[in-house]
Amino acid sequence: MISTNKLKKTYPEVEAVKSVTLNVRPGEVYGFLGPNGAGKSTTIAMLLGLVKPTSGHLSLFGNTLNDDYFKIKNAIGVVGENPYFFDEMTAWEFLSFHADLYMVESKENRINDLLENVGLRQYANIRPSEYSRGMRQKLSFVRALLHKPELLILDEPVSGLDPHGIRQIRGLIEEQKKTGTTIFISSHILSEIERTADRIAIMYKGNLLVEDNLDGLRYSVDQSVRVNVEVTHIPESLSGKLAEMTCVVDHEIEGSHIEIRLDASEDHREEISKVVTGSGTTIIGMETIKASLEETFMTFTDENVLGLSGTSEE
Amino acid sequence: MSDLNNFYKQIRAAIVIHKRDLRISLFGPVLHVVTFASLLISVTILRNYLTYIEANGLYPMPDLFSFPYRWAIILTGVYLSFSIVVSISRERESGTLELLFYGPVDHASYVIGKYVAHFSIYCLVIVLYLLCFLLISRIAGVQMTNSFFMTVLLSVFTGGYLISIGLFISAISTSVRSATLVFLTLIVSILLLQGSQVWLSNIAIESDYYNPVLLLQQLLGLVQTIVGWLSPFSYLNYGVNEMLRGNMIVFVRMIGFSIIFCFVFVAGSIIGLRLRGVRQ
Repeated sequence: MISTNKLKKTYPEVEAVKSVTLNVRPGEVYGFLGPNGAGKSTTIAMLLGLVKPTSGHLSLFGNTLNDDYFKIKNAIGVVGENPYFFDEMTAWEFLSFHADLYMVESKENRINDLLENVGLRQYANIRPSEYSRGMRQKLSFVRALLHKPELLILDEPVSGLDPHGIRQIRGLIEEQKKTGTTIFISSHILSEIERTADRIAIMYKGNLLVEDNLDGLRYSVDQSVRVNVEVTHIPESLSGKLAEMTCVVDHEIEGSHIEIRLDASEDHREEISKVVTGSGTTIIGMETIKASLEETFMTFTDENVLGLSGTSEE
Repeated sequence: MSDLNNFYKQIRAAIVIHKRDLRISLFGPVLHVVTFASLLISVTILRNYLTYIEANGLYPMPDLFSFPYRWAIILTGVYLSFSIVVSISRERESGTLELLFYGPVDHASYVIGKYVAHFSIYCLVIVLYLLCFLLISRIAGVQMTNSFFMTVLLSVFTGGYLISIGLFISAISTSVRSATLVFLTLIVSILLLQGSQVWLSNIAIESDYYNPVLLLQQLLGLVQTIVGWLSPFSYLNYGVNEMLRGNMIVFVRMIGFSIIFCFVFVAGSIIGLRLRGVRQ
């Protein structure tokens, strides 16, 4: 759906994007992560043809923008970080203008349905400048969805929204995901990406550090998995038996809880369960503790602070 | 086939942008204020002519309407040109230009849509002036001459050219402020140049050798010639004057030059916008 190869953008004083090679598959939600200034927005601007790459190659739907500009643009819906509107138009007029631009059939019905869906129908005749931030963002979503795009590009869609607004936008993203729309979502709000994305890419200082699903990302930063086992009592022999197991990296006992770090290459919970019960205690609960995206992200970027600082000054 | 399809989509996008700009201008107050003020000035000049005819029983000039019309149309043209100067740079500053380029709008369709919108308004205003002048001519019982209609015809093309200059300045400017500054500097320079030349030509020269006034006169004359080749006002004045002298070839040539320069500036605007980018 989106494919880039060694995409690079250099401005006179800064190398905004150094080398980005990514691949977004049809129907997936692709989380594009990175701290402020990582080069996410510049990459998106290049995808949209707003900024010309210094070098590298990019294609959308298998074609470059030069090949079929209008066909590609008609298949994309974009929600930018800042919702822009024409001051002179009401929300309805604004949507009607865009519906004309995209040649939307029976535009009145389409606009009404979408406005109804996001709860803005009664505010359709008000200018967006009088809307709250959340309402403006929802209106931007409606604009982006008017022509039923195959690909949605969302640049910081929940930035600056309150929890209620974030929830509504998340609902819209999930609805689109169900319809099979490919979603490219850029954000630095990690919890949102964790909830919605199928695969994640992490940008840092103009470089794409990694591209994988969340489990893959976790595995690449830490090849172990933590399991918390709650037991009725701790037999004396248990610690020794756990230490003898090859799949156990280390373990720690605290009260009736045992935190075990296991090799993540396979699922060893059954073995653990046998060893623990075999030592003469009863398991009350067992929980796998996965590293959050935030922890994974921090590990990646912290590692690269050292790795990249010598070569990439922004 | 694909090229034809793209061309259709380009035209389609230009029409949608054209409609939006037309609507914004027609529903905004400034255009109406400028049109009314321009009309008021030209009607005042006409009234003076009619008073003169009433008092002396003589026409002050063979064509009563051309001069007041030229006043009105130059003011309108300058306003519309200024309006387009501000328009693109303001859209770029506010982010709405970027918003348009998220969708099926390219540089050519945007520039053409903008240009056609302003040119349509200009033509509408010309029709309005024409109707007003016709009404005045009926009421006052003064006949309109062919030269007046020829002036109106030439003004359509010179106005179109003037608007294309505004479009070009806006497309390549970094901000509203810089675009406004460039435009005003251009207009004021042309006016100052014309004023200075008149003032200098009134100074008597005592000696032909090494006289700084003579040198300045020659220099300004040269600049004036260059400006004359580029200024739409010059094309209007020169074309009308030559037409009144019966030199229709020059009149047609002025229309031709206006069209050519208009194309050059519109094409320059498309290239300028592409190079300058849609982002602030």
